[in-house]
Amino acid sequence: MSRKPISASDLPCIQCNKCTHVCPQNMVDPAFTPRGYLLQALMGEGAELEAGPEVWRCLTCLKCREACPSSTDWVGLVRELRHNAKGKDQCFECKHGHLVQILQRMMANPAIEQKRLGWAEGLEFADRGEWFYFTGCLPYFDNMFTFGSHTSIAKATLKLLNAGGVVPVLSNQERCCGYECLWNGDRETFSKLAKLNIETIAATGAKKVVTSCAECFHTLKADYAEERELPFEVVHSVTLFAQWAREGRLRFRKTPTPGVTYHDPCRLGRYEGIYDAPRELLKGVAGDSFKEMERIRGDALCCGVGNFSNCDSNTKFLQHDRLLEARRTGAEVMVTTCPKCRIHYGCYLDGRPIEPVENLQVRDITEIAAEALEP
Amino acid sequence: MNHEPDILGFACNWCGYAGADGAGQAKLQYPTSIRIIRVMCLGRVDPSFVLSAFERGYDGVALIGCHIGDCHYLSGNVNAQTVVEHLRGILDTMGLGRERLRMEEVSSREGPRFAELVRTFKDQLVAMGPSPLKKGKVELAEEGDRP
Repeated sequence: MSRKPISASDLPCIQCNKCTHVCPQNMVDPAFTPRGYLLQALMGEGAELEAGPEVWRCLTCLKCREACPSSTDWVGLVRELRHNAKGKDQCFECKHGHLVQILQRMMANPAIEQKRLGWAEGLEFADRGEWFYFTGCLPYFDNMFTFGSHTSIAKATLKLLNAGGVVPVLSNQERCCGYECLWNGDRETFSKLAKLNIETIAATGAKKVVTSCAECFHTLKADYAEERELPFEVVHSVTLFAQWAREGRLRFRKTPTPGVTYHDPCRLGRYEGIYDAPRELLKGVAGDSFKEMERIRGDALCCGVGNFSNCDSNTKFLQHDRLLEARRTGAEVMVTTCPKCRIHYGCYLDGRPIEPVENLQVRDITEIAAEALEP
Repeated sequence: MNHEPDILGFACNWCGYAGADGAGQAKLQYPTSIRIIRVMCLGRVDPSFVLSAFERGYDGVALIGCHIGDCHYLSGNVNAQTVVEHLRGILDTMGLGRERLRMEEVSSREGPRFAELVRTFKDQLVAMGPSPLKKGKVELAEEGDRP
């Protein structure tokens, strides 16, 4: 399956400006207009767009396509333009000094022999089998983002998988899925990582790959499939656990939790259309204490950072807005299914918030579910 | 396996770099494996600098700064200690080994200590073998090279 590059002239944009109205970046900075940039691209000025900073400021949250009456793939064009810009040695502003990208390039080297399973000590996993648990970068995040533990998500997922009677394969040879590289225009590294990961998973004989990260899920499912045909099926843990809970394979005791609300990550929601499974699972765990925010499902606000590359003061406004929205529901825990959303909100709460957001935690759905698991 | 390791040193202007200078002035012998980048303070060393060095194939990275408590900017070397601890965790997960990153305290008058540090670090890296990311002798980056 080969990928066809998106060309601006193929875009069915009708210049209705709906994309700009829903764009979170535009909400904070009115000068950022996807419609304007699309017009520029349609007029054949794509090269100028590539050279400018706008193309790096898009959060790729896909709210624009949700609103677009003609399904114009602006985000797809952004990805294309970033790829072209990278080839011409133009670069986005460095966030964390390219740390994430450096780690991905290191992992793309086949000579690397990782020791990434330290977190799984004492837990049940296999070397070969039908199920593969794709941990993603969680073991690295523990040393990169110092607020809270990130492998706790991996532990919770493994615990739930075991409780459902599955002993998944974990591999030291697994690498980062390459999501950040892909969306920052470095398709070369992405292809290397995709090749290595597909080989690693295929070698274990796994037919089903579980991820606990919305971005890994979308990358494996959609972007790896563009690289080559996949010998396995990809499933996000939340879909699986919701299904298992329905079948009675997982049983949760309803705990008197403080209010819980759910934040839709872009990759699981708008990109993959999974809105109901997380809500079903959360209601199973938290019961009536689950409350909805105002902007949900396709309308959910972005966490404000795309692929670790565009964090700025606008981001902080968006995060503040979203966290206050969560707090207004009366919830004390905002649950998400994407570890990166959790990192970005966690960074905001841990750093210097615009004003303090009291009594609000951001947690992953697997952690909540694992705690409520009936023994 | 015998190999000539490449070491990248980040030396602070006030202690580490002056110490290295002292070793040179006293004509002390130490291996040429180390390349030194002078920084005003170890607090300037971003985690990405260190990982970028490993990505380019360096076998070891040393952060050479003031003794704790002597930092010219009060707490730069204490911050660097935290960074080093986290970077070591990343190096372990990556399978390179935490021992490839060292942080040493060398004051401006401790030239012999600097020479000794380079010697022992080199021996240690020879014993550990080349970094899996190594593609031969590390070339110096050209001006305008992007990470």
